[in-house]
Amino acid sequence: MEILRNLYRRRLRTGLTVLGIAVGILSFTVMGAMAEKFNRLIDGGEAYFARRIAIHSVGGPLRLNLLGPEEIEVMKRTPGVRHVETQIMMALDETAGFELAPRFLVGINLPNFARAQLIAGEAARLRLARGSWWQPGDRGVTVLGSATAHKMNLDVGDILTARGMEFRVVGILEETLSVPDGWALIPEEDARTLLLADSALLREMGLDAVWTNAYALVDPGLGEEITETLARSLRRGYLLHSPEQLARAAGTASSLLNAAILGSAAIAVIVGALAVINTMFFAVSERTREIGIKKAIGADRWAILREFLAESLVIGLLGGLLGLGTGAVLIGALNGYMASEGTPVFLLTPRLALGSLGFAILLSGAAGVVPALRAANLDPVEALRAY
Amino acid sequence: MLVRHEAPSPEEQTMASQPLLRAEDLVKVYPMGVRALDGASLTVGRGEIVGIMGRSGSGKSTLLHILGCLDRPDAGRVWIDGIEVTRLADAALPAVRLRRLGFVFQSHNLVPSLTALENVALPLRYLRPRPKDAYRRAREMLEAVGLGDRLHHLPGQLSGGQQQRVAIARALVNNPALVLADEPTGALDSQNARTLMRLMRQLCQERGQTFIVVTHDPAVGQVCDRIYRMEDGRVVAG
Repeated sequence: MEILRNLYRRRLRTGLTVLGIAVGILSFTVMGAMAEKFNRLIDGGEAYFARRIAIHSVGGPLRLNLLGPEEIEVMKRTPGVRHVETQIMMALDETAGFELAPRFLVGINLPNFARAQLIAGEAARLRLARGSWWQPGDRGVTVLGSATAHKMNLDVGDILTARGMEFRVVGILEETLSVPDGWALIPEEDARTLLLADSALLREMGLDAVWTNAYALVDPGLGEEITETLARSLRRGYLLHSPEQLARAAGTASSLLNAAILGSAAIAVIVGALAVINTMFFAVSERTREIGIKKAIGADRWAILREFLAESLVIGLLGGLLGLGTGAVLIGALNGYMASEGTPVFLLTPRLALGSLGFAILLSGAAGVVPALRAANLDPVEALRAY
Repeated sequence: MLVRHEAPSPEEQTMASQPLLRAEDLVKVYPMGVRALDGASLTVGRGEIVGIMGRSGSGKSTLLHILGCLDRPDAGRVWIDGIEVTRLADAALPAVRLRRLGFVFQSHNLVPSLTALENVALPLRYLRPRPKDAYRRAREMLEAVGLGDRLHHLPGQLSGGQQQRVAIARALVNNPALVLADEPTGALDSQNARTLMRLMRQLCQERGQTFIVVTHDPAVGQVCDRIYRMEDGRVVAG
């Protein structure tokens, strides 16, 4: 009670200091929420690719960057490869420009896709939120990723028009917080039709068994070794990424993001700590006589130290709550706006919220230590002379 | 007032026969060679009300600070209630002030952010009894100084005389053996000063407490049992 009254007694200064902490924690919360979201994306990607060796052609037949039946056969015969998943992938809307979650049409062969899902494991499985998968042989149908559905405002039964072709939406995938959220899965035959439609050359050559990318599914831990074998078997002109390489790349991205969080935390530290130190030094010098009286009537060093530390902790708590509250509102508003653009960019996790609040309190407490020690160490006679 | 049903122990009888306060040959030299105290000695018995008078700069406040364990002499010894406080470590002094001493200063005695009741309960808070008991005792003390209707007023809402009465209540709430007052009436008009001194005398007599008051106000001297004078850093009989 006394703490609150003391803070209220110099409310303008307290208010500004609390605001200083709040601004720091606001930036920490918002930046952290962005990092949490991207970390989640990276984790999702890592899970998806944990058992997949990604293979892209950077040459292939006539340097068209396509994979043909021979390459797929070579992969299938490579020891350790349990299955080869094939896709025909292309931009859903080539005129869309930059997108945070780029949307792709992904042509799949349903039995081939289903087997890959089975082998890839629980964590990498794509599940339906609504609707159902199409039946083998169906054409002009699609299952949408959650972000694609949301951004294009489509639901089961609606029609997706892409690259001049119409697809009836039969299912919507659960959110994965990863790449598949931006997909529209379509039958392989439709995808190949679209691919050939753009190329008279391919039509002329009768190259109807082609894919844009493939994944060799392997057992965990064998990725690196099999990638090497595959690279030798396929000779040149192919780009291979082992799960380990992807994990390393993801690790680098994570480190960069964590550095960004620490950067914003450092700003919070500097802004908040300076304000708290300043305010508490002011409080100590203003209340020197009061400290003298308290010491005269029997307060020991610890009692005085505790009193001033508690004040800085309360400043931290108020600033932390204000910063976190404002951050949560801002994140909600920004996510609402981003959702209409594709995918929300911020994720306020419980650990981030608790971390922000704890950080504010800890930081304020630490900043209050030196002023509190000064108060505790004041000579009572000197302190009593002050007015 | 303490009510006793048992006979005092031999140890207590010895203590009772000792003076409450004894100071011997106190010397305090400030930087630049100013000798604030130069062999000051003083003995005060239990239940006495003693005035210390003298010109400003005669060393009155320095003496009071040393007797109150707020400062240390460069030489000399002080016993309070049988304890040689000049031999105690710094860390032990707050406990002596808390349990055996009470202070009243000239002005600005109170913590501005605390109500009258909270100010009086402050020493008890450092002793950590149950908060309920602390506030009950603080209320009783405030009633004893005639401020039962001002419990929840902040110091800024009280007159100078009322503030000093709150300070007295706070000085007495712990039942200290010795109360030290430094110009307690310095900021009051003569009417208020007389009222305050009479109140202090009455409370000390009721509770058998010893009282040392530093003052240059002759009116204050009139309520004291004995008067000492400070001259050139020494205590002489008044």
